[in-house]
Amino acid sequence: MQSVLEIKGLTTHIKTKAGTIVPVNGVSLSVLKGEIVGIVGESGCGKSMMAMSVLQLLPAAGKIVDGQALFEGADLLGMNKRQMRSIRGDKISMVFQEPMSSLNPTMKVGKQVSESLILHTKASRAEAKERTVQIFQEVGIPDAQRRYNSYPHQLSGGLRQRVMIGLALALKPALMIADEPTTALDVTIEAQILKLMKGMQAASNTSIILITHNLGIIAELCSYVYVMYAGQIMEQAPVFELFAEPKHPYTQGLLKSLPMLGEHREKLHAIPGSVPNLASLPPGCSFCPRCDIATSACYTLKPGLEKISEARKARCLLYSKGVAL
Amino acid sequence: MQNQEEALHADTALLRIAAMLRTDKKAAFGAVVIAIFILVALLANAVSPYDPYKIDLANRLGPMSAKHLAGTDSFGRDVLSRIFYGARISLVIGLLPSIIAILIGTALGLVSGYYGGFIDFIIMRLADIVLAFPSLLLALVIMYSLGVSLLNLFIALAVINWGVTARTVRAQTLSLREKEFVEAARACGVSDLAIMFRHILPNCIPTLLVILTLDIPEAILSEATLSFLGVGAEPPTASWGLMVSENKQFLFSQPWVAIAPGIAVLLLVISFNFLGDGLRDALDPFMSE
Amino acid sequence: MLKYIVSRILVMVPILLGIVLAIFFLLNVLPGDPVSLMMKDKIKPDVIDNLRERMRLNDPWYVRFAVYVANALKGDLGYSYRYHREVKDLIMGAFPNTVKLAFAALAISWGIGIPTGIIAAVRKGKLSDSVLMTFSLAGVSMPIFWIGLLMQYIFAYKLGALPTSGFSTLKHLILPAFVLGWSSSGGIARMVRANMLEVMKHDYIRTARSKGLGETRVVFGHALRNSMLPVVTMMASQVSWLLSGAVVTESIFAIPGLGRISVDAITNRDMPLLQGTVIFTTVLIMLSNLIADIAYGFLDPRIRYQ
Repeated sequence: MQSVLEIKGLTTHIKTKAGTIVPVNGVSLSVLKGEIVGIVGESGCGKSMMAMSVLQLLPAAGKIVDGQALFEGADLLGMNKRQMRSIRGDKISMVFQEPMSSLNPTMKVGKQVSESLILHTKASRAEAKERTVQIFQEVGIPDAQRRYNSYPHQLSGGLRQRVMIGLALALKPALMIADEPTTALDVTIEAQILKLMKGMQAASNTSIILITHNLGIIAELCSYVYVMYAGQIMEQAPVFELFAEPKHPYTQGLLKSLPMLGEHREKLHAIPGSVPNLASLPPGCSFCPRCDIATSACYTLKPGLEKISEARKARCLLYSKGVAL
Repeated sequence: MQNQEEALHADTALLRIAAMLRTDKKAAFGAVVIAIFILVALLANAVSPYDPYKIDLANRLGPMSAKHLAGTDSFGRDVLSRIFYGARISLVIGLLPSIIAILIGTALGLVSGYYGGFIDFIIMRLADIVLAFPSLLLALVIMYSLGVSLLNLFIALAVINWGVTARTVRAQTLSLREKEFVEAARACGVSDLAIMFRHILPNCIPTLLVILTLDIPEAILSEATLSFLGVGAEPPTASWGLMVSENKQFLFSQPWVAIAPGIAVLLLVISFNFLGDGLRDALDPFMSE
Repeated sequence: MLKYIVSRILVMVPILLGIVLAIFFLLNVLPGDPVSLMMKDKIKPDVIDNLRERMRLNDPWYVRFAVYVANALKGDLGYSYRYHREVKDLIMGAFPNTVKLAFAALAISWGIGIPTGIIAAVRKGKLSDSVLMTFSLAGVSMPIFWIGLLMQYIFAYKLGALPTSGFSTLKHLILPAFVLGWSSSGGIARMVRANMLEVMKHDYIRTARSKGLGETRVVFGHALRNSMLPVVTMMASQVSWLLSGAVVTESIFAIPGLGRISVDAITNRDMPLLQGTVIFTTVLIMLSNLIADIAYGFLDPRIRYQ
């Protein structure tokens, strides 16, 4: 099947007061047509920065220093501002974590969606409005006609995220990047939003990159998963294989920390240590300070992302040939 | 034990200020200019070429020359010497009433935030009143009431400018009051006064520093303006505002004499503003706490 | 919204009363007896007594305060010692001049300040930002009387393009309005820039960009309105600033306005006139505070729909 987005060796730097950090370090991934790909990792591992790099929405201190992002054959990273703008919202759209802060508080929600329609389809105001109300209905906003004129603070968190999803899918983009779309919502609303995303995706054949720290959501929606840690892909696998047999110690730790139905555990596992400081990474494997099975080699050698089966890769010395542990 | 934590704060604050002065060119410029003005004020009798009060009617409104680098005023007094002496008044008026106002505001803000209730209500309504009043008008009224003199101007500026400090310190006290180290101190039986001054106040110091650097240029401008209007320093005092006012009628024949003291005001005030901006940026994370 | 406006007004009333009390105390109670101050000992005691009785000086100060407030509410602000006219009439004569000056200055300060702030924010960190902000800070740091004299020298004397002082034609308004407006534009520019930068960090700006909007649309369609909200509240403190600045500007350019009257009142020790103008000015400022609060409510839907 043809891939919609093909990222190769993407590397992004951010200048901070503590020095330059590398939140995205040589990331490669591909997304097939109509596929939902998950990117999982703890907060601060560079997932969001990767997504921002693809659409060139990095903060001013951020800079893409290497790599390609081939979207339908063209490199997004080589595009000028005008070309990039014609892609954003129309071909690739985004859903953000905080629907309250991601919507303009002083603009009617309907207008925030129709604005995008007018921009990309040259629709008239009336047409855009009509289409927006229709989209609101599709994403399950009750009383859509009236809600068009609401301001974000007048909507519930779930409705706001429905607006965001409506905005993201308004132009039937080839790819939607959803960055922690349900993290700010409570569990029942989360389930509804996930169901909505899945339904919309099935109907429109839009590919989705789903960024989350929640493996449960990955299991529910995705077909292929990338596990990210300290700016690098640590493991990548089809979702069933990953859950059945995690290869990387980090993935194993993540899975052990999930509560499982029908399984009795004394207590939930937690990965020791804390999220790594990107400004001071160890010289060897970036995960080794927190790894249960790290050896002295792990502290000095940088593991590569090794192919371990047809569809799987992992970045661990365990799978590096010719390294004695 | 939390004193350690506070000492750390003060240390990092100093480090941040030092780092800021190295990278922020405008702030560094401000600091240097202020230092020069302070030196000139302290050494005014040594660096001034003439006695600033010496009247020499034969040399009225003299041009800039080797003898009088900045010319002479309408009484033949040396303008440069008067500007040097004027730095004393501007700096004293800039610093002391602002510091007094900040002390008043801090005390009121601490009490207001720490005790809350009725006393808080009263203090905050007083602050509302002081803040709603345009400070120049309040200064005019106070000067009318107390009579025109430099000392009364001093009092007026100290009494007017405590409102912002009181509000800010109160807000910080409210949040600090709930912190563990304050609860711990209270549980240990430390007196209210000791908690306020030893535990809460040190945490407010970075903020107070920023308020101070913003108040000082305000006070310097107020003194100059009020003296210009004739309700501040009295002749023959060498005050920059008064110097402009004394020589403004010769603006068209000898503009420099009226313009020069204003340049000194601009230079000193903009330096404090540069430094204040730099400090605010450097100490921002402390203030948002 | 109505509730919001009413609550704003209710907050204002005690503050206003406090201010009037403070002014009254400072001008009537603290300096001592105005009659003996005025008359020294040149006049016979019975004349003084008569005068004291007429001015109600034999009453305790709080009674006098109550009488003053009651009269003020009826529009009677007392009688000027110096001009032998009703204070109210003097104020009403001066008020239009100050209003003209203040509005012209406000227009100039917004006209300079808002675009400066926007440009500096959009070009943050670039040379143009640094230059614009240094100019703004210089504007804030210059004494108004000094800019005033400088402008008189350049435009009125050297170029002969504009009149130095007086207030008879529109041409007379240009210099003073420019001086006052320019000196307050720096504060506006700094405020707009700071707000704009703050707003540009918000998530919804990223959303707007992710829709494919151009930077101009992002700035004007999404950032500007949100960053103007605090500027509107600043309008109130700006009115306060302009009326203070008017005191100096009117003195330099010989404009017969409120500021000029209050300085005259001080030099002539004309207490009722000073008291009247200061209270009147304060009321003006509080009213503009109220208007700013209401405008804020209209601009921010989170308040409008309370």
